[in-house]
Amino acid sequence: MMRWNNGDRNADGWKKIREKLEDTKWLVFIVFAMVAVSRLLIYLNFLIWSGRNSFDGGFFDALSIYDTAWYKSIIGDGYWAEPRWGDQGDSANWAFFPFYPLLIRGIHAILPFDYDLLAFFVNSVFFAFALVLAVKYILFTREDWLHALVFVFLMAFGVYNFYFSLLYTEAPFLFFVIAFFYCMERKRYLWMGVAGAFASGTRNLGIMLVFPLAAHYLAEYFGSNRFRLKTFFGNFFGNVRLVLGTVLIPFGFFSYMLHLYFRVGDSLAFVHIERSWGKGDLTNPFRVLWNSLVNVDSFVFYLSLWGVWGIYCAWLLLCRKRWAEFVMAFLVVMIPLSASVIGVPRYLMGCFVPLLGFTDGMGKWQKSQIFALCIFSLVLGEICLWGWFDVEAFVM
Amino acid sequence: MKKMISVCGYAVSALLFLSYVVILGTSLFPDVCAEYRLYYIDKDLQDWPGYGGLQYRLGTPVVFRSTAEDRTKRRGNSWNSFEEDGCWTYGDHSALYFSGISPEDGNSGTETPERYVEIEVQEVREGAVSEVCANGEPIGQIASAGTFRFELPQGMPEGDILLLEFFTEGFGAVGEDARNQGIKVREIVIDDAVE
Repeated sequence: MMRWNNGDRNADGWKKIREKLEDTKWLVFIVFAMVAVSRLLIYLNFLIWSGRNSFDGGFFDALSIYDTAWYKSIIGDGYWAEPRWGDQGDSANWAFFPFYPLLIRGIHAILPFDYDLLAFFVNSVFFAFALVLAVKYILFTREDWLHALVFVFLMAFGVYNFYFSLLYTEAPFLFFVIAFFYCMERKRYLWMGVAGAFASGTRNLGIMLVFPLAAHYLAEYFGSNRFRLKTFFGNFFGNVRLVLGTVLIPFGFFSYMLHLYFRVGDSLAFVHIERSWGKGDLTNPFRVLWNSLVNVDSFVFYLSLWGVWGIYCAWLLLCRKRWAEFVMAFLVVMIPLSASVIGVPRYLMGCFVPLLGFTDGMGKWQKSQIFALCIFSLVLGEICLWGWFDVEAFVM
Repeated sequence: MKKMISVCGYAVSALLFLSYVVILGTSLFPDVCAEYRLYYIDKDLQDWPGYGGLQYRLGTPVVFRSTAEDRTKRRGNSWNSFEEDGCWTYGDHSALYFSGISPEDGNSGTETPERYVEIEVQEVREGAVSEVCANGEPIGQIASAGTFRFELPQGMPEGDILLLEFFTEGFGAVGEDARNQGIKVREIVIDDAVE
């Protein structure tokens, strides 16, 4: 049976692979090569799909659907002063956080290419660097290069991998979340705060990174101390880097709120505008999940299975006492579910920790099972990609 | 030097924290128009009227027919869908919102004119009675189909919003239609009486 961190893989034959991964230059090369091949596969898929469907448009026309129009509106016009789109004219681009559109706008000012083309390359680079950091994180926390490689394969070639090259926030958000966790584990709290600030400016879920940090602090404190009020707060406030790093995390989020207050008059406009998408007030995520699970004839059933998978991944992290990762995985599945199952798969795949928990569990699998999962993930990824080209709802 | 950097670090942290508190405070006091507040924040409006969409010009018909292009977007949440000849109220409480009506709107004289609301009712569910209120004050009752004219109290509205409410008893299914229906409104007009 294959186990993560199996001593066999420390033998000479495997040593070279491990050394290559631990050498950053080689690591970057390997990961970039995998991402480049996976992007090429996306393009090849498009060629086959467009040939079979007599599609008139180009590669980026097929990729640029759903929320890409919203991001383009922000890149081109900035945030609107009042709603314009939607059947009732009640939708606005306030739901989409600013860091990523601002970044593309800035790059476009220097390299005036098509937004979709720019996003494809910028996001692919973000994606590749995210996976580099993921390998470093796994090697630091799990000390297992095979686990890291399987993780990278599942991300680069597995289901929903195409999301990381669209004009969406998945790639930068993934990068900043992994950077956050990596810096937190390495106790580089200032850089952790910077990563958190960018994450919270990229997507509203980024502000939740304060909770994994709290779990990390609690685990560290109670791992070596008995509770005393003085040391509990003293250890935190006595570390200026930790204090500043913590306070930096919500910076992106609150900056955007301030901008919305001056632009729209409502600093919570990004929440209130959700009404135009038919999303009501937050409700019990388990009820949302159950209602979708029993709807077997609908695509929401497929999405609800992802919700179950997300809960399972969080559970795996909890069992392994990966407290900070568990907290993030729990939030990543529960918060979206409290509104709807739509988008849950890409939220899970785009947040690093659920798949990390799942691959932790794979340490007990047979080699053949791991191989089969990789193939299954690749095939499901192709189905989802074709679903994207076909503008199917289940890949939203 | 190290101590100075620490002090700066704590100072920046404190400033950032305070700024977050202030920004959170702004979320409690949004500076938005009535349409935005009613639709997005309070979620009291069924349809998005657009900025300024609740503004009302005296004498303008408020239309409830599905065939009309200018059918109203002033409905609160408890109304059924538009039909060709009007719109049923839903349940025991249905509301309509108007803004921009000044108490002296249209008055060029020294006396405040009598202001009225005229409601054209297409149909009433058997046994249903609807009490009509304006900004919480009862102004009349509807128990049958027809056109009803109710006077608005002097000086109304005092604030920016005129809220017309229908408190209906005896609502329920009509024929084979299981929806909660009370009275079917066809058209409403608010105007000043011509002397």
